[in-house]
Order: sequence, then structure tokens, then C-alpha cells
Amino acid sequence: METTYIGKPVLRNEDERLLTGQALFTDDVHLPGMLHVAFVRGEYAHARILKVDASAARRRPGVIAVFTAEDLGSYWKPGPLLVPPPPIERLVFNQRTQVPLAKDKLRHYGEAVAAIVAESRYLAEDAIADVIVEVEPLDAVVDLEKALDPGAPLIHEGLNSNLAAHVIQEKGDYHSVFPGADVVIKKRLLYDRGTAAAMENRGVVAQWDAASQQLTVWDTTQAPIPIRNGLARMLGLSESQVRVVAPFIGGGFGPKIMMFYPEEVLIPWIAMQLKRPVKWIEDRWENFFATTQERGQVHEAEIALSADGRILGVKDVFLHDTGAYDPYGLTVPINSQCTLLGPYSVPNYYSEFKAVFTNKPIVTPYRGAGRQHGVFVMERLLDFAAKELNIDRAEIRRKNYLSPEDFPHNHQIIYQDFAPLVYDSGNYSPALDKALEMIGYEKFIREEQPRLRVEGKHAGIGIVSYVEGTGIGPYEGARVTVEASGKVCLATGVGTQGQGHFTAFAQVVAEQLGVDVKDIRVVTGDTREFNWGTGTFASRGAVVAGNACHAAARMVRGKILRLAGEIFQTPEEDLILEGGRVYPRNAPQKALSLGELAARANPLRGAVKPGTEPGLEATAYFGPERGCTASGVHALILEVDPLTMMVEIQRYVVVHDCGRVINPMILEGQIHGGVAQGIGNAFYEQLVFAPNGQLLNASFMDYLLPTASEVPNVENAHVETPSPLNPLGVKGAGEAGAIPTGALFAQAIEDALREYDLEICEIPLSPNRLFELVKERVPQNIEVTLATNEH
Amino acid sequence: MKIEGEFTFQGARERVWELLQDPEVLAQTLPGTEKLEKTGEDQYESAMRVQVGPVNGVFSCKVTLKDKQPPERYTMLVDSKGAQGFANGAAQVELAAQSANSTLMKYQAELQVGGRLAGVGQRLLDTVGRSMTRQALEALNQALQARIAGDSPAAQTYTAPTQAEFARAVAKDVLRESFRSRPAVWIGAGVVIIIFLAWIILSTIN
Repeated sequence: METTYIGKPVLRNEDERLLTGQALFTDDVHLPGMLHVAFVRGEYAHARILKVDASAARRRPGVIAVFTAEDLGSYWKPGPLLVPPPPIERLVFNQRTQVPLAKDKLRHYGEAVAAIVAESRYLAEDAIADVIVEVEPLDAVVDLEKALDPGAPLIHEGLNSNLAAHVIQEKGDYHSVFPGADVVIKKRLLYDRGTAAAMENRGVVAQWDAASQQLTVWDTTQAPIPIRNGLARMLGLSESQVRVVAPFIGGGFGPKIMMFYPEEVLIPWIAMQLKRPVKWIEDRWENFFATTQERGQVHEAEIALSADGRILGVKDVFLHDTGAYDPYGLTVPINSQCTLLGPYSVPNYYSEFKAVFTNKPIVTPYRGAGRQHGVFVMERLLDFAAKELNIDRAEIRRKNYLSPEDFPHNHQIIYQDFAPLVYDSGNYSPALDKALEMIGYEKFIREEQPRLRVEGKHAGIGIVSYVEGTGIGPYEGARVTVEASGKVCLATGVGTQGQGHFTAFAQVVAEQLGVDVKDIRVVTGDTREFNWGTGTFASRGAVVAGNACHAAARMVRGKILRLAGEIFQTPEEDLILEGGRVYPRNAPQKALSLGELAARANPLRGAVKPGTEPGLEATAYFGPERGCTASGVHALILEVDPLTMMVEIQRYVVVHDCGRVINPMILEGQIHGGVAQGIGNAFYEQLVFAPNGQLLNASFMDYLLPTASEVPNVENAHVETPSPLNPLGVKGAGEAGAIPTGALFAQAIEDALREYDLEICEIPLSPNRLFELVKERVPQNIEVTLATNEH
Repeated sequence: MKIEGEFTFQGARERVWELLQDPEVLAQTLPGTEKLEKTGEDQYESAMRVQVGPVNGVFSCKVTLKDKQPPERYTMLVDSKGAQGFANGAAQVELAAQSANSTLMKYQAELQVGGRLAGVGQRLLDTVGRSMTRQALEALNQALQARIAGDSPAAQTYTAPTQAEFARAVAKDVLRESFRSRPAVWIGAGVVIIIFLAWIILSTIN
């Protein structure tokens, strides 16, 4: 299809503002008379609160007020359940959501106990030590495998165990596979916690204007409209009295789609109580436990194959760590359960999980949102199977890929959007071929690796596949307006956290209206501008909001052509719309600018035909019947230093299929960022908790993020299999980079350290952990290696 | 956090015991002590400045001595809290006479540490804990020597190390421990050096 703007690497409209410091972030909001809040946070992961005494803090000069749970009165309520469990038979779900301030118990380290409001943040923080929180420490539940032990301490007393959920999903009959199975492989696979570590921490500023009875809230949320609706309900205001602005945000990655964080509930309430603007900005230390996290799971997985490497069935039983509360329902473990099937034909599948409460920060989706775990389990099982059956790693994958004629493919289990897991489209082999070719798979294995080994270098290659369920409903909307200046205003409800919405959405509209992308002003994340929508999550911005932009722009295009047709007395199909002008094909000299046309569509005097809508404006909504499935292949060459066990990435290739590409440059940026987070997750980042639930590495000194020196240049290529589920044919791409990286690292490291015959069944790794794994395998050899290298 | 070890005092067991019960001596010799008072029989309250890496703050401590068997053993219950976290637990102290002039102290403490102290200072917590203990014991031994040498009170003849001297000694211990450990740990050495430098700067300011 011929396009003018879609598919082009258009430079980002927003970058000038971002790069010159002109973009508004929440912390940039300064209001006259503004007060500042610091939170007193519990220092125990599990304890009964005996007494909270804030009297000394209240007396401190500069402190305006201190609020404890008691002081909230009827405003104190557990948060809402954001995602109810999907309709799966026999499903058990125990809802326990977070509270604004801890009242009777502390359930994870750093739970907010009191809010101190002062003239400055410094004064507020000084007063933290004045608040006496008397507690009776309780034994903590930290190890998720011990959470369900009969004697385990109970985190929520109303329940008779720490079970948060129990879900079984089945397809076919796994037990039927055994008679025909030539190989059955069973492994225990672990995935541990990390934090999204967005560059910008969370923050909320609220202002109550008593004169106009309006509440304005600036919030680093990915879901400004649901926040507005929820705040209005909690505060007893009309939705029209509340304006929530999610301004520029320095990275969301999922934790900012978690809603009704305690601070989000309290800051607006405090602003109304005190009738002064109030600000709270999370500091990095708080971010390590007050912002949600992800990734703790333990899988017992089994795969049955025929001798020629075909998958007959997979069985996976896993535990999912949901942290102290479960406000986000089952999205993460359901994603793990569904994504495990990957791009493969799996005729029989048994998947069972138990989500457990632990005395650790709350778990909600973080870039990948459970997909990592599923991909890790499946890809590792295939690697072990390939080894066992002596089949090439790439071949065993190709052999099991769904073929293009299998689509739409129904996996017969329920996905996170409550609909059956049906892949809309896909074409997996071309991506694999392309990745193999780009990384030089054959040549590396046949020539380079043996040569490097002779030189004493431990280089390995990895290649993995994955799918990413993206673009789920329910819906988003957009309003497109051509203004009398000829410029176009596009408003949509989704918030933006750096994805390039100001450009990609503008490209979609520009394509329909024939105006320059730069002439489209995009407004996102301000409920005053657009107040229907759900938020930015599940790699759905381009799919759901993008198609709403497309639909609204189509409607405005229709209005332009109708009006111009009347003016020019020309059939609409003979009109040309380009360069911000419209003209009859055979009379370009008659061209009218879109601005003139917009003015004519909004006359000041005279009469219009009955039923005429003013202006060149339209609002449209898009809701797909279900999500669309993107896919890809990552390939990696790395070298392991056998002395330090550090890895160095030599090549990193991503071949990605997210359907039709709106802006390949923005897409590459998304992939690069995802790969960087994936590398951190695979080899550097891990949250370490003491047995008493204390987080032991709550700073960037000890929690290692990969830096520019660890993240390689990522080589990209695209395969385009358009989605039939939306007019643009697009699929999501936001999480793709981060999903398969752990599985890829494990495979490539095993390959690099082939002589130790490692079986890497856990992520994250680290040099220390790798050293231990090697040592467990061959205690003598490692000493020999070390000795040899030292001389 | 566990801290355990032994230390030999050059002095008779009874004199060591006396020393350990004297709040004035303790206030001088325990690193970072800003205040130490006896609040009751076998009860002490103190304010101590503790610095572990970037975590720096005053902790108010309540210490209760129990199971006292002079001059052989006692248990210390520690409950300390500050803006930067908490540390509480119990320490067992045993004194054994080795000769008329030599007493062997064995100590064993198990502490629960929380807050920023644990979350941000974790990397250095063990080392700093050991270093503080060693320095306290050395200072106590010097105070003991001063006491034995004359009849004058320890305060007049014994000068406790300053905060800066103390901080530098801790930093040295941190560095020494890092390099003594296995090669695989050297990856962290760069970070430790940076912290060490920051430390020196901080302690100079202090």
C-alpha cells in the first residue's frame, strides 16, 4: 500500500521540547503556597502495628499536618481490584488490595504509615524521625515456595493460607501424550524479581480550587482517565470537577499503570483538606519498594516430544509471587501461562499456577508482564530437548512453528483480556531465517566458534523465539480537529511515557488529512482534553489508540471532501487532499487550504443546512475484538571471561514482526530500550530480600542497571505480517525487546561454556552466580581454569 | 547480621569487668557515641552516630544487661532506632581469665537490621560492624591500660579517637576486607574504592 507518512522514519515531534528542557514533568509543577509531603514508611516487612504517635512531628516547626490511618476516617478504604480474574472454570481468587496507610499491620517493607505535610520536603523528611511507630515484628514470608507451608505466617488474617489464586488451564489431554512420547524432559526453572527503575520516579501534585470547585491533579500515571474517575468517586466529586494531567513521564514500563497507589489517593485528599496545593515526589529509595515490581516465579515444567523433535505436549506447574497484595488480579501469571505456548504448535497443554502472597512489595505488570517467564520456560525446554535429541537449536524451533495457514490459531485457553487465546496472524519462519542470516549462525558454529575456542575464547551463540500478545481492548478514542489556522489538533486519552505518541499518532492522522506531521499538535493524557479511555498498557497504544486516531481522521477526511465537493461542485473522488490543501484533480489553481475550509465549516452568521455539524472535527473510538499477536526472534553472540564470569555481548540481532510499522525509527528505539531492560534482567538486576523481608539492595550502588557499556548496538530487521483485527494492520511492540532476553542469555552462556555442560534454569544470572553454577558442575575444573589464567 | 569474635585484654578479669560496666569509659571508647547514660540498674541509653557507606545518622540505643555473672558473662539486649533504620538483638559476652594479666573476651551478637541501614548500607554492613567492634575493643583496652598505669580516672590519661579517625579506620578495614576476599569479588572493588573516596571526603567534612 502506497503511503506518504505511515512507515516512514519521521523525526519525533516531541524531541525538541524534551531535549531543550521545555517539556513539563510532574516535578516541574510549582504552585504558589504549595506544601510538600514525605511518608513515614514501615521498617518491617511483617509486623503488627501497636501504636503510631505523630504528636512530636505535629509540633515540629514547619510541619502543617500529619495524617495517619486513623486520621483518614471513612476515606480509609482498601484500593479497588483493577483487573477482575478472567472467566476460567474452577478459578480461585482471593482479593486483598493495598490500603492508603497501614492501619493494623505492615505487610511489606516500606508500606506507608503516615503522611507528613510541611512547608518544604526537607522539613517533612526531618519530621519522619519524630513519628513513633511501635510494632510487634512478625515472621516474614519471603520465599514463595514456603508461603503455602502449613505453618507459614499468615499475611492476611482473614484467609486461612497465603494463597492468592489458583488457576488451571488445559488444552487437549497432556496425559495422552505419554504412549507416543520418545523423550520427556522435566525441569525446575526459576525467575526472580527486578524493578523497572524508570528514569523518573512517581509523583503527584494536587490543587483544589475552592472558588471554582475544581480539583487538578498532575500524576505520573499511565492511566489518567481511570484515575480521574476513581478520584471523583472517592472524593465525592463529579467527574467534571476533576482534571487529571499525566504530563511528560520519564518512563512507565507498567508499574505506573498500577492504580490508586496510596500516594495517589492521599495527595488529592490532603490538598482538599488543607485547601493548599500539595506535592509528593517519590525518591529513588522509595521507588525500590513503594512502586510495584515483578518477576518472582518457580516453575516445574515438563515437555514431551517425538524423536524427530515435535512437541507432543507441555505440562507446567508454577508458583507466582504476587507480593503483599493483589490489586492487579491475575494479569501477570495468566500472561506467563499463555505466552509459554509461544509461536509453537502445542497440541496438549496442562498449566496450573498458584499465586501466593509474600511480605514483599506488590507485583503488577512490568514490561513483559509475565511473558518473560513463559518464554523462558518454553525456550529452555526446547534447548534441553534439542540437546537430548541432537537436533539443532534453530531447527527444533522451526519444526514446531505454527505455519502461516494455521492462522487464526486458537490455543483454547483464556488470555488476560478474558477472550480465548487466538493468534490473529503470524509468519514465523521468515523471521528465523532472517535472524540466522544476520547473525551468521552457520558460519559462527562451523568456523568462528571453533577458531575462537582454539584461541582460548569462550564465545557462544543463542537464538530464541517468542510471541507477544499485544493491543488488547477494551477501547481508546481520539478527536481530530482541523483549526482555522490549518493546523490540526489530535487529542487522545492514553498517557505518554516516551513512546513517541506525538509523532506516530500524528503520522496516522497526516496520512488521512494530507498535512505535514509537524502541523499536527497531539494532546495526550489530559482528561480536560479527552476523557474516555483506559490507559497505556499491554503494548496497545499504537494498536488501540492508533486505530482510534485513524478512524477519527477518516471521518474528518470525509467531512473535508464533502464540504470541498460542495464548494468546487466536484465529485469527492476527483478531489486531491495534500500539502494541507484540497483541490479538484483537474484544477489545482483553485486549491483551498484546510484552514479556509475549517473557517467555512464554522460560519459566524447566516444559515446552515439543518443537521450540519460545525467545523472539521470528529471523535472516534476503536476497540478490537481481541488482542493481536506480535512475534520475533532474538539472536546473540557473547563471550564469557572464564576468570571473572563477566559476559561481553558481541552481536545482538532482533527480527521483529509487529505487523505494519508506523515509524521504523521509533520502533527501533522501543526494541533497543526493551533489549537494554532485558539484558539488565538477564545478567545484572536482582532484588535481594533478607529472610525478614528487608530489601538489601535498595540503591543503584547495589542494584546494578546495565549501562551504555553493557548494552550493545542492536541490529534490527522487520517482518510485516499485518493484523487482520484492525484497519491499520498494526500490532504492539512495546515489550518485545525485553521478553526473550533471559532465555537467550541462558542458551548463549551454556554454549560459550560448553565444556562445563551447564544447565541454566534461572534468571537473573550474575558473574557470581555463574561462577557458582560452573563450580557446582565441575568443582575441580574451575580451579584449574583459574590457576591457568592467573599465570 | 551476626558479629562474633574474640579479643584479649591486657588486664585482670575483674578490671575488665569493671571497665565494661562504666558508662563514662564506654561513652568514650565506643565509636560514634555522642551520649551514654546509665538510666537504671543495668540499663543504659545512648545516642550513637553510625555511618555505613552513604547511610549516616544518629541512633538512639537502649541497652539492657541481663544474666549477669560477674566477672564471667553477661548478655546485652540492644534496641536501637534512628531516622536511618534500626538494629536490635542480643549479644553474649564472656570473659575468661588467661592469666593474672590477660583476659580473653568472646562475643557473639545476632542483630536484626532494617531500614536504610540495611537497604542501602548492606554491602558494607558486616565489615563496618566488625570494624566498629574491633575499634571499640582496642579503645577499651587502651583505656584499661591507662587505668592500670595510674590511679587517675581514664578520662584524663586516655584520649579516645576522633570521629574522623574512626571513619578512616573503618574505611581502611572495608578496603582490606575487600582485597582479602576471593578474586570473583574483585568485580565489586571498583565500587568499594569509589565509596572509600566518598567516605574520606565525608569524614574530612565531618
